[in-house]
Amino acid sequence: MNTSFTRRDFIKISALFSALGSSGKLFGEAFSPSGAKVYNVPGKERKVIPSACWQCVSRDAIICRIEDGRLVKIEGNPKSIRNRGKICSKGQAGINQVYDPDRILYPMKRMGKRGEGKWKKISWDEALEELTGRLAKLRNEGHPEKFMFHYGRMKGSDSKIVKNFLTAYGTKTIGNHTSICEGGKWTGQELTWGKHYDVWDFENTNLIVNFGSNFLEAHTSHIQAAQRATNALAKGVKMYTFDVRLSNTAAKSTEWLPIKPGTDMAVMLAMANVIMKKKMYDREFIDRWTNVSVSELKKHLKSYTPKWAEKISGIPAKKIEKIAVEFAQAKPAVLVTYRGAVAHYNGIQTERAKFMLEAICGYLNTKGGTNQAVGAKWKYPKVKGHPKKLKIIDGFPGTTAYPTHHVSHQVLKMIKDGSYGRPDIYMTYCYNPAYVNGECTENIAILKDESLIPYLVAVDAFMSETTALADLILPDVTYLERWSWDDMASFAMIPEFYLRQPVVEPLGEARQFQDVVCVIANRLGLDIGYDSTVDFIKKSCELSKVDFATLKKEGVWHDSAAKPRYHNHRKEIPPAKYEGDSILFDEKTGVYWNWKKAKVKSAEEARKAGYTNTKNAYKGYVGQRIGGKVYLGFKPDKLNKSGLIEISSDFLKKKNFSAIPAWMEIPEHKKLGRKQLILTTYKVNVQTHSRTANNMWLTELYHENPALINSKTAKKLGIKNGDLVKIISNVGEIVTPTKVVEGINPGVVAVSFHLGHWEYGEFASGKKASSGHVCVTDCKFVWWDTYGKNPNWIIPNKPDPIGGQQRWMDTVVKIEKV
Amino acid sequence: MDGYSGKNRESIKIFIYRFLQRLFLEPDEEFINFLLQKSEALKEIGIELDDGIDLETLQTEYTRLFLGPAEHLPPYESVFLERRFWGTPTNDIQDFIRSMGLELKKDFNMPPDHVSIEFEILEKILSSKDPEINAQYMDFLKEHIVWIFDFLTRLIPKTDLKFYQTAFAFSKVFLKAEMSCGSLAVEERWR
Repeated sequence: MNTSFTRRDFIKISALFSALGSSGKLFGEAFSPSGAKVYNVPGKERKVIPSACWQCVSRDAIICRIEDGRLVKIEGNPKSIRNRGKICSKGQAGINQVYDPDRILYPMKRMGKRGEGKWKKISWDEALEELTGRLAKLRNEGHPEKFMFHYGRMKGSDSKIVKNFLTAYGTKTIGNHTSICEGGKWTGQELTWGKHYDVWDFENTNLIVNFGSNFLEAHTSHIQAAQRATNALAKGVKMYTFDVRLSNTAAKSTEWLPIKPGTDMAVMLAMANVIMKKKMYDREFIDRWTNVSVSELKKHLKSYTPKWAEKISGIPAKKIEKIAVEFAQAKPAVLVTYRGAVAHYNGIQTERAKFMLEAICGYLNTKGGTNQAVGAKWKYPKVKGHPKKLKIIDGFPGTTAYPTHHVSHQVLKMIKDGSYGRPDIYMTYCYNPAYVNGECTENIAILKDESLIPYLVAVDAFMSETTALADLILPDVTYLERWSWDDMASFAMIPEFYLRQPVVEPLGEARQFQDVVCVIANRLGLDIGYDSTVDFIKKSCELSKVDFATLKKEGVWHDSAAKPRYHNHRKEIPPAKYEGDSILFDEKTGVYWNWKKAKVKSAEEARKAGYTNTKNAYKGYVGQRIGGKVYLGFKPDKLNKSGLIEISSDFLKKKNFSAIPAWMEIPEHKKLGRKQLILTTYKVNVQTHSRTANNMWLTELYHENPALINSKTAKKLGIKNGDLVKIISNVGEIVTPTKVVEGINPGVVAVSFHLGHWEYGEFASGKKASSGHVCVTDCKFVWWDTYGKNPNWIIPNKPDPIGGQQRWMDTVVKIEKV
Repeated sequence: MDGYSGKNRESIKIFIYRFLQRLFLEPDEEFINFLLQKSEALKEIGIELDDGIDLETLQTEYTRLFLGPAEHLPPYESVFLERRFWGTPTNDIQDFIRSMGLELKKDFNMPPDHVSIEFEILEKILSSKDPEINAQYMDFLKEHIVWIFDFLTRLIPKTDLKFYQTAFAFSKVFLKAEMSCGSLAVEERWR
């Protein structure tokens, strides 16, 4: 090969290329004249564009600073009444998402075997032709339900646009991921006080009692909650945290109570016992707003003494009694729960016990207490239809009593089983079942098997562990290139309408999937009533009477005359609303309901079946009669409960669970061997569950997740700090270093989420997509070379028996030194 | 280096830069036709075509090398030097384009520090009738050619196609000549 040019070479080159030079159009012409030379002036102006974060589900309002087309800084939007100008480290690292060179920027078609990593770039036109061809075929054959759409992150208008399309297409085989988040918490709430999502009014409370929530580090309303709780702590409000691990939330608490896993309910029951026994309860609230009496509660709780709870939970009886008394005296207090308490076999009754305890003290829907969430109620164009579904989204029949938020982690197992049908097209959208569910080995095997999943389409901005197994990849934009309206719960107790708008142009050929479904709908000849995401948003603004221009300029909008919505349940319903032909009064429950809204054929039929036994009667709920008046009460959702707080649940009784929350022991924890521990998972402040490990700034801060064990346990097992251990469960084993700490219950081993990717990009997995940078040999940026371990390899996919929540915190393991 | 002097030296370089621009853009029908028609002449200057090469082979290899989604080498200065899109070199390139009285076409949806754009800038500097712009050639080269040279060094072993191997090698030889002409001892520093 030549190493330099000779005179002869130049003559040849001249002959070859000069002839071509005149053809002109062969060559890429990226420029056009601008008309004038413009020289760079130092100190460029920074443009500010408000938008909305989406590193996690908190979705805080942000402002983005753009310098000459480049996003340079993300901050909280000070005009937001929710996050009030603050965001977390993850939010600031959003720049790493949009400018990540490991992004997927072009539609890709699989070339080799599934998962082999061979791809062909195809045009959007080719990609959509292939996809719509398959979609049209299924629909023409009368089986639109064989198109399964499975999303991980889809909220606000993003969700409405896609679901409208799916309705128009005819499929309701729609999977979500709530059961691996906190679905059990929501089912617990729906069985008890109705519509889900509890907001804790930290800034107006006198005491915080926290069971298993790490809300100062990670939470669905992280920054909203954390800043308000911090303000409360600064004022001297006490906080007690029950947690198996000393999280940073526990560390900031007045006291950390290292509880045994899955025993939170025992402490709650004992606290309730103390309050009833000492007559510190709020009789008026119990009588008026719950469906139980003081005497029933006393009788039910009698045996749940602090001494009894001490044996189960490891928390001293005296401590339980003290906290119970402080809780009842606080007037008001808030009681916080999250996955630590809920992602267990007994999680739903635990959540119900929380509400029982708060109801006993009258702390629900009140200033300084736990409140029903208030969020923007957008009106938007809706598509009507009668879609069909495969029965694979609610788990195996008989395993889950009320899967009101579905059982997403069982979907692949159900596909494998095949008894309830299999989708011909399985499309994932920002969802990574291979990695985020338990039993990774099985997930991968199912996703790879073309006889089980004939066609796998992944809509994603990054190469996830699932996307790597796809047959077709459609590159989505990141949230910073996206249009959506949003509606997250407001800790200000006033609804906030807000907008996510592109702060930079989408890179490459990445396209917002919501725009793509508009194109697919069009190709399939489906009328959805709008032709783009922006069109949908503008129409929503008109319907909701929110000014689009204001949202674009400010990012957020709320009614400045609105007052915080406490005591929502006390709202009286005027007679005009509960009188009339379509309204029935249900004697048994005291509920007024609109049978037409519940889509019952006739009043006669509705009367005969009654409110409780009519499918979706809750959709027609009007109000609850209490005394001589009708109140909004605690409005039901997903289940036909009354407008009262149902501390005693007929729904549960019907399925042979205790009607009033009663102690449920976790079967696997009954007899633990000497060397057995309980595996728990957790989140830290600088990573999200699965979608930030390739963010350089965050992974520089957190790239190791050694197994945490207590020094006593370590001594017993002969393990020293840093030793490599094998953690073994009945579905697999992982090898990981240990970190010996004091801040963990001795019966527990903790491995965080976030890490241990085997795809997704350089920082997440060591598997580079973009290997061309200087770091390859001359590393200026990357000084670490660890990627952590994903605990999901050894966690079984098991639903709780009531709601189908994935039982993250119940796994029994053995540890061996390697 | 006699061939490098002479009065048609600038125009030869313009033609080479045009070829290099095209080399790092997605191959299309026209490009493969050009290669096939000129295969003999290309061979004369050391660029060889693989037996039976067609557009699909070329496109597949291009995707694998530059677009991903598996391990690939995005041809952007900012990705190479700072491991991100839209880093500081991107803005520098943008500023430079403006200083030439040019702007990027709106339909170009990637950051402007793409290697093809940098080659096109060099071509535009040389072909400009404005002596003020012509004078920028060596400065721009010094500023930006270093990464391209190193990028090519990384790139060559990644491809199995003889065409890309030889065309990238050709690019390196040319750039090396340009650098030595400007007394830049870059190769040694980066190799």
